[in-house]
Amino acid sequence: MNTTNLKPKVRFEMQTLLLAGILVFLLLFFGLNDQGFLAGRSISSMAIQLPEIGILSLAMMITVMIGGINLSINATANLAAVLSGLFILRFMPESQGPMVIVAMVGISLLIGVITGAINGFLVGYVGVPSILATLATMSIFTGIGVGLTKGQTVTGFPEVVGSVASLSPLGIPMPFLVFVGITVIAYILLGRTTFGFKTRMLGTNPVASKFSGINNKAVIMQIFIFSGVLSSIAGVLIMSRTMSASNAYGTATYVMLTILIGVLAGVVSGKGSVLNIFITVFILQVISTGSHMLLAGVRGSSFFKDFAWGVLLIIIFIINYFTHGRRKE
Amino acid sequence: MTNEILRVENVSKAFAGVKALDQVSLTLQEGEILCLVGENGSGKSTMIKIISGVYHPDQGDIIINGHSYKQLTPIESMREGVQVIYQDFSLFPNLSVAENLVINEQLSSGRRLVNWKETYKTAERGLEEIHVSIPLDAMVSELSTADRQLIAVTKAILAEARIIIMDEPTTALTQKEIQSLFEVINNLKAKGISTIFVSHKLNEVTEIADRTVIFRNGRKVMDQDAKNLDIKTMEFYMTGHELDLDNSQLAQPDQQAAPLLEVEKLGLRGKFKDVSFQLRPGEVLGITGLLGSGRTELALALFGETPADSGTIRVEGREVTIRSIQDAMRNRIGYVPEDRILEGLFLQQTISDNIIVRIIDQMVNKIHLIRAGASKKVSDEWIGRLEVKTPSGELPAKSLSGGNQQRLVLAKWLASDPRILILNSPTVGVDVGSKASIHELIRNLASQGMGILLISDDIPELMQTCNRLILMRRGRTFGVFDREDITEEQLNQEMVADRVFSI
Repeated sequence: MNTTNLKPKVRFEMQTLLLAGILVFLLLFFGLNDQGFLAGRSISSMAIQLPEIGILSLAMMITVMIGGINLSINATANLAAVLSGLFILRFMPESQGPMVIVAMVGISLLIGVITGAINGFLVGYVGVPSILATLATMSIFTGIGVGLTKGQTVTGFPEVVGSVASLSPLGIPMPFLVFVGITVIAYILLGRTTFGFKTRMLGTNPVASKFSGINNKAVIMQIFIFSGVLSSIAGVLIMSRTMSASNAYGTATYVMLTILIGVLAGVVSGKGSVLNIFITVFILQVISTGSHMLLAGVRGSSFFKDFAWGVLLIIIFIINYFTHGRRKE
Repeated sequence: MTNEILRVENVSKAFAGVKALDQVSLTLQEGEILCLVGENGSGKSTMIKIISGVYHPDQGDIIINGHSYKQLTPIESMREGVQVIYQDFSLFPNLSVAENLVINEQLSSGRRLVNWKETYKTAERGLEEIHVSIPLDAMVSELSTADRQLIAVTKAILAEARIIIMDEPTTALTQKEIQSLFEVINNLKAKGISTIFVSHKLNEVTEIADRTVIFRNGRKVMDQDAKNLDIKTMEFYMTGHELDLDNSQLAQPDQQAAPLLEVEKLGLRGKFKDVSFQLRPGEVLGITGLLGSGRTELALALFGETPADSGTIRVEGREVTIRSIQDAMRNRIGYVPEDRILEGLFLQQTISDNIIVRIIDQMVNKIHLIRAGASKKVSDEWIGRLEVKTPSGELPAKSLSGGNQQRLVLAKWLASDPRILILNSPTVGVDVGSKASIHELIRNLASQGMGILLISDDIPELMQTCNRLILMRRGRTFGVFDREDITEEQLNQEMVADRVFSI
């Protein structure tokens, strides 16, 4: 019968609860095993590192929601950092004023919009599958950066560039505030606007959305521009924290990590939860920092986090399988 | 033939508190062709799944070949000779015919090497059993639906089936293919193999059945010899009420009213040419013709999906250009597509979201956020108006049955208040009861002043709903008929004449 699976929307909430449960468990586990873990210093170091990958994960998530992918997120972040970095070095190397920040953020966002529009044009209007289009643009964006920097890391920025990452109004690191702010904006955009609604519909069934009068091409374009802008914001945070800009930063590892986060958070075509992404990013960062502290001094300990992430992925798949995967007949 | 091969006794099954089957009994004799008939949601598929061991009944017994089971597993069911042919046939498209036929035996024999000679021999023997010939080396993916079905039947026979269950087997078949499938079923009968034929196409049921069983709302409401059973009686049992097929109540559009839509010499290279007609408010205009006659292409051109490249379109007297779906919508033209699953619905999204997708842009507040609660209000209203059967608009669209899904697609378009509605085959795959109520809805919409283009090749449907009919052949309008001036037989002949003509 067609009316056998009358389970409305449980899946979504289940996943959030599951992730929250895992996060609490990990916090308790590391907190009880290492006195330093819940101390201010490690918390604030987490709060500085986590936003970069978190924002990139959102950039990835929205493209997965329309049944696509954006492999060029990290290349976009690096290109934004490199171009705004070169601009600052060339035109305002000595300046310490707020104009440096304005230039950095402004140029980066512009790069985000342009790169996003290129991806959106290729995927939406030309009809290239997003995995191929963004693979190509990933190479192009990286290539442009390498050409301009001759492959060197760009450094020697005015001190003020670092202030974005180092400021902590009310004791909360600025990058974390940015991440929270973007999460809230993405939550509203995806959950409460027609743009978000159309994104979900397009991701669920592009043919039906076309026949329902949704301008698929425009939605795809908007999604990729949004994705590009988010990537470029991650670029600003990376540049400010490391006080440098390089095309070699992050690369494939970061892209893979954002896909991992998306999978853990249960993002599929037509469905994605900003909240789940937020929690998942936290989980991965806690595992990373926690295992680093717990295993400090053990040789090869830095590989443990990769191992733990992989195990976590499998655990979540198994739990999902037993909670709702087996309903399939 | 009075050997009873299967007996189902007082079986009940509930899902999440909803009774899918309620104290149903059923018997099947050796070599009997039993037709199981019912609307969507009546319990047919649940019964099949109980007989094949997929579901376990909450109550009742299943007796096959004299062996009694409380709970049957799929393996036990197969061992007793029950084979189900589902709508998708469960074949391997990238394997050859021979491989598909022999794969079960191959796997169960536990041999690790493939004996090709034997494979072909067995496959050939299987096809001979049902007197059909299909090249054994052909890839299944290259075969027609009808041939795939025959492969599935042959596979069942090779598995020594005693009872073959076919779930809606004729859905994707042409008339000729249906006839040869019936021949195969009668061959099986001669061999003493019983068939349970699940369908809601009543004309086929009258043709093939030895005995007919009708389900409604999880109960068996009729079980009798098929000989003296006519379609009208079956429809009565299926729906529980007399269907209103009286077409005299068709409202006549006001001939003086200005046309809503005027199409003049519309053409699209390679698809259709010189198509001209007028559509008045309150009129249902049928567009018919065979597949490839250009009827769907014409509809898509009017909806802007594949725009026409010559001719003019006037909406309410104004000449308009329709180059995109957005253009069509601006002129308040709606289109209910042919394939509701692929083109019409967002199955995983809620019923409510499916209804408001067209009008979401109007449901925002001053700062462009979607108004909370607005969607529920609108969607509940349409669920009520079109009688979509669901406990809640928050359930996914895939929880609905076929007829209700079709109503959902209609609701989506009606919510956007179109002036001109193009319906492409709106009742394909919809059960009899839903079909009648969709026809009634179409007539009601027209009587409220909407102009409706109904594209269909279902002749009774056209005769019951349309004021005028356009027959298309090979991309041109071949004739325009007032419904009063033509009978079903004549229209049928016109369409068939085209078939001869085009060969």
